[in-house]
Amino acid sequence: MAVKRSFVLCGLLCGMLLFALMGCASGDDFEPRNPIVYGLTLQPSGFDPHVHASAELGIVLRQVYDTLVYRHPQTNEIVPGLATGWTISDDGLVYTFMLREGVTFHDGTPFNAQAVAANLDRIIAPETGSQRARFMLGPYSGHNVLDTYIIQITLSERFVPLLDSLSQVYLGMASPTAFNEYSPTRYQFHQVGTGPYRFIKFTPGDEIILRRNEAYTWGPEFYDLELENTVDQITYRFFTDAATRATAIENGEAHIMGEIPPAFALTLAGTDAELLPVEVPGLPLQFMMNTARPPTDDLLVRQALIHATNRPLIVDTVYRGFSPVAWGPLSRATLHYSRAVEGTYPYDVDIARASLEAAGFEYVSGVGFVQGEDDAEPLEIIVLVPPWGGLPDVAQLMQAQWREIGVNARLVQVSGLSALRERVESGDYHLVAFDSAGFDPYVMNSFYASDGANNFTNYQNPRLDAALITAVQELSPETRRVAYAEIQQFIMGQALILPIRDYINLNATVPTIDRLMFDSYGWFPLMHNVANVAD
Amino acid sequence: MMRRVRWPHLLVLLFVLLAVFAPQISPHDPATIHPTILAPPSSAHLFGTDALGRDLFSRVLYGGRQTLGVATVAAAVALAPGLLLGVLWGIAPRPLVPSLTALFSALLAVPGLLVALVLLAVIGRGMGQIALAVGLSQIAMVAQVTRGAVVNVRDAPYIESAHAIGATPRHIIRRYVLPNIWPVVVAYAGVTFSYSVLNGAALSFLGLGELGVPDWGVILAEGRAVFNAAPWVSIFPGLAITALVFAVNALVDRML
Repeated sequence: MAVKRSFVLCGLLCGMLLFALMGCASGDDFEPRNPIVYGLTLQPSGFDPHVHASAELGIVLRQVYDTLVYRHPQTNEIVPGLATGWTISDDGLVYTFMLREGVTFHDGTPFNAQAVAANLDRIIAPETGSQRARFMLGPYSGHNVLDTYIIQITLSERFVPLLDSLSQVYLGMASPTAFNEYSPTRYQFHQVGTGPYRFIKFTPGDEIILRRNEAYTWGPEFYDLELENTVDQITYRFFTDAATRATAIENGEAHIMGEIPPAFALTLAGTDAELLPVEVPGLPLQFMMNTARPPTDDLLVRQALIHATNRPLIVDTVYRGFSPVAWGPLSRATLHYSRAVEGTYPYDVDIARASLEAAGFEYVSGVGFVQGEDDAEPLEIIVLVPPWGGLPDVAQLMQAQWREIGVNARLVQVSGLSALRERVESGDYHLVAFDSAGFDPYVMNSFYASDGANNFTNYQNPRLDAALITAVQELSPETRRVAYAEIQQFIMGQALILPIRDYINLNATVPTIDRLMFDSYGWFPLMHNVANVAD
Repeated sequence: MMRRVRWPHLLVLLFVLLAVFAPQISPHDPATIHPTILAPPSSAHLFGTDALGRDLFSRVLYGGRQTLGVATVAAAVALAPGLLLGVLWGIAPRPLVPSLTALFSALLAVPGLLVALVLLAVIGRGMGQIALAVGLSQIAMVAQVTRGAVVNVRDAPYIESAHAIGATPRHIIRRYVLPNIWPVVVAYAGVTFSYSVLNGAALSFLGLGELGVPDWGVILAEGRAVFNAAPWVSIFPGLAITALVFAVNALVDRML
């Protein structure tokens, strides 16, 4: 007993010592002139953009890393970043990038084609265990350093979203000196990029500190180098409890805050705080329907469930006018979004009832819809509900609406992403709520391809598979747009999903924050130009 | 006898009646969505409506059924094995006592709510699971209190006399020990019930109950998200929890 106690005591003391040392390590004479606090909403489980997948890490690290190209936040066009120009071979398999000269990483390492090559090697190395970046490179087959500042990336198949991928922080350029010095688990505490802010300190669960990179002169065209009062230190703190976020803005505890709950956003509207809603492109907040399990294997049942859901009412009640109703598999801020799906499956309980009757269900007064002749089973739909994005409220409203037409919904709460995946793998569900961010419609592939990693609908259709692959490989933007429009209409024709709302990232700032903008992906702020002007 | 009926008795009885007859008393179905969300208390909605437009009075009434049901089951789960273990611990042969004491001390060293949380992680979410977890997490406490009471009477002269006239241990427990520890047990049953109300509500507040099933903890949590705009959504279930626990504790006080 005594031995165990001394072990615990020893552990505690070591922990305290470690904290004390970490405090000393970051101690320097820097006195910020214009510091701000940025409120994050989740504790990321890992923080390396090449390894981990969370949106939260991008909110911070977009400031630390530059990418070869950027997406212009106003025009959504791909513009030069660390690459000043690029050419694509006629067959679409070879991308040649001309790199910017005179760029250095925060640790003094020069940026050049060798550095890009080292980054690509790190991302694809199996020991890196990349959860997102590797997938974003698609059919990447290798690189070829042609000159100090020229590098080629080669693909085994055509992959049009490559530039879109290269514009995202998950493929940000890190200093090879730094990531070779630290092990992958330690590198996340010592990140080095070429971006407008330097990574100073990361204390898990507590804070992340970035400081302005005074040497930064190589930003993309929408970074204005001549600005005054720009922020010189950003401290990121975690506000995981949604109910505390608006208060933190009101009392000045944070200057910028993401994901304000809509009810609190309404109360903030009466203060001098500023609301900044940002549309997040990609898959909207939606319920994917399991086509491998009766009764949602029946198209008529799936269509009935969409007709039975009063989406405008749900969106008004839960999101208080801060979100548009979603109609299809892509939200409207996504590239090649098709308006043709708008207005499909309107709320109509009569159509819903008729569809269920056509599917062989019988309405029994006081019970609802039942199936089978003798010992008839009431129709029950199992809905998996994760805790994010207002989904518990959405699911309860949906349950009440379905009950009115005689459909019983059993709501099953899942605590997070891993619990959700576990339940999906068991196949024991009819509907599962999900959303995913991405500007290029390529984001649909992993959800709708028969062998897609996220094929929660279990829908298998060679025609849809072929269409998804063709759309990814199509070089002509116009043909691509048409192909994706057809895909969106096909998915809704098959009623594979019940879309609810386009995701809106509802940010708030104190009134002194100026020039804050978000990139085309919706989640990631561009902090370079941001000023904090106290009167 | 009439003199003993006081306000705690009446209040507890009122809570029980409201819970039992919730479907008859409640003016609305607790899941029906009304057009006005976050309506303040009025004649149409006695306690107002919540963030989804549901009648809060009806939800608190139905919530009482859940909360009282969970607490009753939890108390039963805690008391039955707790009493048995406590008595056995109290009359255990001396050589066994140190190891039993060490075992129960270890169990008591971990807070009950934490034990319940760990149990829920294993057996999954749901109101039945909450009742089970809250009950199981209190067994050691009940056993300890029972054991204390048993030890107090174990060495009393009348027990020694019973031994002297050759009574069997079973007879001694039934005839002399149990009747004499009964007041403590009944009082502690009330305390266990109060803890079960609080811990059950705390766990459903944390979202470990069933979505769509109103429970005071769940309603309290829903109200927290809109507290600035509509404090009544949290106030009524909060008051209900406080009043119930207060009444049960007052009742227990009077029984001692």
